[in-house]
Order: sequence, then structure tokens, then C-alpha cells
Amino acid sequence: MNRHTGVVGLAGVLTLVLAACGSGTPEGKPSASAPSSLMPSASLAPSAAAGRDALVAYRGMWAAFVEAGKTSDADAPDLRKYASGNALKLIVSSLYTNRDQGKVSKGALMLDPKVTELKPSEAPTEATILDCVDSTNWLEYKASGELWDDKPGGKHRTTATVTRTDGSWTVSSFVLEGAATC
Amino acid sequence: MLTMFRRLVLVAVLTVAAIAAVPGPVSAGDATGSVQCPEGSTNPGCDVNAGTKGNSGNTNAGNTNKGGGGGDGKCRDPRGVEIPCQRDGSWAGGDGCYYKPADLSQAVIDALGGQPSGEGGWYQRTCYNDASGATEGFGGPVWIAGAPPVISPAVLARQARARLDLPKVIIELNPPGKQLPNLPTWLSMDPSSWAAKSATASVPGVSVTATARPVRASWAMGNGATKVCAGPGTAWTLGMDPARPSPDCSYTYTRSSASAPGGVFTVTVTVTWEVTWAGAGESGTVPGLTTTASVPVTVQESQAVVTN
Repeated sequence: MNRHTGVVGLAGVLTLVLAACGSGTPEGKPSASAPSSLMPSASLAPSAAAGRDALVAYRGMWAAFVEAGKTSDADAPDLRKYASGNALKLIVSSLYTNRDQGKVSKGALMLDPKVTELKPSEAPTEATILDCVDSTNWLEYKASGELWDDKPGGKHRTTATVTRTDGSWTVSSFVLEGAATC
Repeated sequence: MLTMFRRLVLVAVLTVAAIAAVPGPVSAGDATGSVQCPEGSTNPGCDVNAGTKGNSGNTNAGNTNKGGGGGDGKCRDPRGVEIPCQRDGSWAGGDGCYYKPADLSQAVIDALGGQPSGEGGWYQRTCYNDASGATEGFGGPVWIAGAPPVISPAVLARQARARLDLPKVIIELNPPGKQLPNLPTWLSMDPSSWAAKSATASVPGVSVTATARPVRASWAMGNGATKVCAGPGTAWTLGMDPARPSPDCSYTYTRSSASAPGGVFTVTVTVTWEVTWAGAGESGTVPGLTTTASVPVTVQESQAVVTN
């Protein structure tokens, strides 16, 4: 019960921290959306710092994906910085396939992630993030600049697992559901 | 056993079809399309374990070397329905999906879990869902252990390429021993190092020959300079003036190697080979190959020459 309340409270704090960055989109340099430069970790409880770092990794992954998607660059180093394991496999496979098909992705992706669980609570090494990924404006294009097709983007319920390995947080897996699921 | 396997594949294919028929999860215009993976999805793109170590069985394209080809020479999916043998440059496998060889960067291979050991190859796999009229293919790069999932000239070409046995590079310099500043060093290699090689891979009815031809020799002189030559160079023979540059490939050091590590320059030559293939009425190129060799070279102080 205590733990539950704690997590809810934490999520509220984190939302505020992220709101301070003024971004619902990972457009631009991933580092620009990193709250770590704005909020010294010393002022946060260990679990709050973990939640913050997990969100930085999560947003970083999408920012790197969006950036790499502009040229379908499966080699983009930033992807490796924020994603690992199955999450990285999925994104790299996607980018490689898009390159193969002559497809690029452009536009802004809107995120609204919240940490729903941190474990273990004392010194968290795994965070669960719930998000509603809005790809209304993040669409696929042909190399010629035309839209790939006329199908719209949408809002996708997304859950992600972010893990801490060797001191750094990376998204290790995520499940992005179909359109209109949030 | 075969029946059981076929049934499993059929179930998998039907499941894919069922999911793909729902408009939501596969909206292709949505850039998240290729990473959409509802829980339990069998979208091939979601099978992130496909093709990784110890798991390559997941991507078995049908337990046959004949790809999607039936005994009548037609290509069929696991249900027995005739399908095109080729789509968008890929060939039908026994699972009804299409395969073509993939040239992955090391960074991509690492992200996919690393290069599995043993025989096999990387392929770009695309599965189409024609039932709903979708022309969009799902897929991704996968490792296929053992024999290739399809037999096509281009796939055989990769096998043939892998069988190419390129010659060792044997470096021949003139002067043969120590080099002298301001005297041209003739750069050449034994003619055997620069000879086209061929290798063939075949299955009944299809034979493909890959041919490697040397096109370029890049000589890193060990002092930061590089000399690129279009041929193997010319070996010095009696009667030629060693004080003049070689007719086609030489380099002149201006400084001694005395201050280099160990007092020597390490000269490394890298030969670049272009690999082309032909067979079954088709032809093309596959990624090139290189061979290389190194030799330590001492460049003397010029004063020492004079006193000799």
C-alpha cells in the first residue's frame, strides 16, 4: 500500500520534471531533452533519480529512433546509447528494413511517458514505463518525398521496460500496440 | 513429422494473416508500423529473437533446401498455393516468405545479438499478406543456419563467393633489402598475388560462378603515406634503371625510418577484389573482398649510403 502511494506520488513529480523541459516530442538532439542537466540528482531520492534516468533513456530512445528514421540509419550510435536487447533489435530491424524498402520516417512523435513501477524500490534497477505514443505526425515517406501511403498515424499504448546495467539505463524492451489503443 | 511441421508453419502463417487483416496494428503510413508488436503478435518483425544465437530455429524457412520450389518447378506457400517465385528482388522460401541475402554492418549484427557461429547466412526476410490485399511486406534481417532458405542465382552467388580461395599476397620490393632515402622503392607483388579466381556453387539445375578480379593495390608505406596502384606493380629486373621510378608503382621515401618504432616502417599492401557472378541467365556483383600483407622496411640514413 505504501509502495503504491509512493509510486503514484513519484510519477506526479516526474511529470512535473519533464514538463519543465517543455517537450512532448523527442524532436532535436536527444541530449536536449535530458532533464539531468536541469535537476541535479543530489536533490532527488534514489528512486526518484532512477525514475528520472529511466525516462531519460526512454525519451532518448525515441529521439534517437526519430532521428535515425529520417535516413533509416540502422547504425545510428545514439540508438545503442538508449536501447538494448530486444528494444534495440526491433528498432534496428525496422530501420534496416525501411532502408531496404527505400522508406524514411519524418515528422514529430509525441510522448507522454510515466513511470509506473520501480524495482527493487530501495535501489531500483528496473523501471516500467507506460506511454501513449502519438505518431499522428510521424509518418513514412518515399525517398522522393511523397508520403508512403495515405494511412494515418495514431495513438499507441506502449509499455517499456528500462533496465540499469553497469550504471546506465537503457530501454531493454517495449510493446507498442496498435493505433487507437490509448 | 513433415506433416506436423507443415501444419505448424501453416498455423503460424494463418495467424500472421489474421493479425495483418486487422487494419489497426499494421497501418503502414504510421512510422511506428514496423515496431508495432501487440502482445503475442506473430508479426515477423516482432519476432525479435529471430535469428539470434541458439534460436535460429525460429527462422527456419521450411525444412527443405528447395526453398519454395515444388517438384513441378513452381513456387508454393505452405498451404500449397502457387505464389510468385520472386517479389521485389527476393525469392520465395518454403514458409511462403521471401528472402534475399543481406549485407549487414557490424553494428547491425551486434544489435541483432552477434554473428552466430557455424554455417549460415544473413537474409532479409519479407512476408507478404496478400489475403487482405496488402502489398506491404513485413520483415527484417534474420540469420539462417545451415543451407540457404532459397535457391536462387543470387543466393548461390554468395555461396560461391564464400568459396573463393584468394591468393596470398607476396610482396616484392626493390631494392630488395634496406631502402634509401630519395631512391625510388619499386612496389610490386608476385604475379600469383594478382590473378583472377573463380568458384562455383550449384544445385541440380542451377550453377553460379563467382569471379574475383584484383582491381587495386593500396600501399600504406608506414610513414603515413599511401600509394594506390591499379596493378601488381613491376618487379625490377636486370637492365632496368633502379634510380628511376618503376613504370607503374613506386614510392620514394625522403626520410630514414630511424625514428619510427623499432627503426622500421611497416609497409602494408591491401589488394581490393571485385566479385562478379554469372549463372542461370543472370549476373551481378556481390560485395568485394580484400587480401593483405605486411613487411617491415628499414629506410637508411642517406649518409650511410655514401660511405658504402
